Amino acid sequence: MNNIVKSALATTFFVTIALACTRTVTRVDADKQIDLSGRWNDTDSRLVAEEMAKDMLNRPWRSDFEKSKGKKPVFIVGVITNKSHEHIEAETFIKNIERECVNTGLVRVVQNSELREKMRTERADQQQFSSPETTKKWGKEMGADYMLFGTINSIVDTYNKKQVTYYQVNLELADMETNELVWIGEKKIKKYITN
Amino acid sequence: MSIRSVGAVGIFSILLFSCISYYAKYEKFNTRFEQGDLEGADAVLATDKKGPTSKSHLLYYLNRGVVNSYMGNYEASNDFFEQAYNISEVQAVNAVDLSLSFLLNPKVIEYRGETFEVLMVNYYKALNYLKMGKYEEALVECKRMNIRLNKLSDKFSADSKYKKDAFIHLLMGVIYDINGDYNNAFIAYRNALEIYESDYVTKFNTPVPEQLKKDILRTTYLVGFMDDLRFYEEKFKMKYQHVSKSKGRGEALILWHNGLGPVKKEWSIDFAIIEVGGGYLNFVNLNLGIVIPVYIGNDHKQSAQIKDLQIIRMALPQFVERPALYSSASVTTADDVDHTLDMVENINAIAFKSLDDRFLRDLGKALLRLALKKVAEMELRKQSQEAGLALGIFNAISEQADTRNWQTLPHDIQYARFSLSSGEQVLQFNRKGSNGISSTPIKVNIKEGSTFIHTVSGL
Repeated sequence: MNNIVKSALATTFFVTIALACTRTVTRVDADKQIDLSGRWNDTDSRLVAEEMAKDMLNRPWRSDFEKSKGKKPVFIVGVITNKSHEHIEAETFIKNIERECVNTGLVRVVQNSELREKMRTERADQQQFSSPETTKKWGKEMGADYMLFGTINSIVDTYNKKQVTYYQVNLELADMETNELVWIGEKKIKKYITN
Repeated sequence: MSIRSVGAVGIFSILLFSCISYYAKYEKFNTRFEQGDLEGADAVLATDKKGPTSKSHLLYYLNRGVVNSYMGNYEASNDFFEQAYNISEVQAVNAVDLSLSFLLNPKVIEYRGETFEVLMVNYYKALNYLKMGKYEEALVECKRMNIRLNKLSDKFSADSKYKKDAFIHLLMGVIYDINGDYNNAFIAYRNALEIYESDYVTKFNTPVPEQLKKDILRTTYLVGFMDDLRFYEEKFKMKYQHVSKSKGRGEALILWHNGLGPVKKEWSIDFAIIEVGGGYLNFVNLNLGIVIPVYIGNDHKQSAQIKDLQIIRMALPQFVERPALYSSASVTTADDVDHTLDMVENINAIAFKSLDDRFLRDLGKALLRLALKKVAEMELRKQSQEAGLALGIFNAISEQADTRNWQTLPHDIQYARFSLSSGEQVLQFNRKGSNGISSTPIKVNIKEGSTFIHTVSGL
């Protein structure tokens, strides 16, 4: 075989190997950091959740409340607005914060307004159909002391094939009676992406 | 090997590789579809036993999905589209098919869809779900569209390529809007606005739809982004007047699938081979101004052999437009209010651009294919002239372009969105073209506080 045929066959061989890849699936640890496209991913959500939960539970507002009222504070999740350029599911880190609060037992949480409606429907149903000793009463819901609000913002700077994406997540607790902001948490994330 | 055998090989090749385009191959289906005989068209597809397992099975499922959607069989349509979605999700190419494609033609590779076709699969699915009132399922399609949009924009680094789709962002906005998630709706609408302004107006002659501006103002108000509301009011020179969802009123969203998208045909380029020294040969086409250098080596005997070829023919696909009869439309309600539809997606223009974007890559592959075929032919000629000739004929006939594409897509998509009193009513859909205006009645059933979605198709 002369050189041309050899090189032609070699080319086909290498092209085939390069272009034909088979699909493989590997399970990885949920905490492993894997950044693929540079967009908001699970690592970002985890960083926000860790930072916010730790910060919220360690600030003076909690001990101040316990001293003055003699009980643990209760909060309800309000509105988290997303002003960024991506569709970000705030629930992934909000749930984490609620979980930290409930599991450490330092702060109490009540169900948010959306799901609360479903509970009320169920309670109404109980009045009609459940036995008197198991029927839950109206007017016994726990009123929250604080409401949690949040914003997600992003700034994107691009030039040629480089991009810098900056995310800022702010969460704040507002007093239900006085509207006073007792805690503001912040997490900044900055990524540099080259193509 | 006798001349008769050479002839036999020739005839055998012609039988094996019919040179007709994909469009012509399915002429029966295409004729019925274009005439509006949807049951007939679906029947033709249903009898195609090889359809679900062939290398073009993506198109089989897409066509069945489209036809069933237009017939109102939304569940069945989505089953077909889900199959199509799964096929288009696979990235890996079968290694054997790939090697074969370099020795025969690209049609032996499974067809996975053009970039814009892949996005449209989820559009049709979402549309079916919205019509069935399954808004949560439509949201799933919305998220899949987002993932595909991200993949598309990561595909090319050059901004001049088609890598952002404004219409899909707009559709995502509509789905979030209908589901009451005004925050995500605003983000999607804003992304769509950006792409229409920076990309679509220049590349596809599609400016920002007026309805999109109104939707942006409405969603910024509903989420409470007052700063943004003022910013956009300034920008659009429009003042927002909030109208709360009043009793006895709902909304209609009319989507017009106008005409039919382009079909692929084959065209061929001839290359002249010129030796330029230093072991390089140039493949030149002066008409197109293309010069591709190929390194052969300094073995003069080999380069002399290749030079003997002098001219080689290469087949590539191109799109041919099927111009729409009508260019614009409006909807007239029972109380004589006329709403003009806005152009949101010029599929015809996008198709041409997608093919254009990968022209050089296709050319490179075709060139490699030709080189390999010629090399095999030359080697065979050394042993037997007739065998070499037979292979030469076989190669020439098997050299074909991939003319497969989703041919039941519309030429362009236009939409209108307006508030109506609830209840059953008949609207007039007025198509406008150079021949005049053609009006057809459409029956709608508006439910209080919700959005009724209707698709108008047909030529």
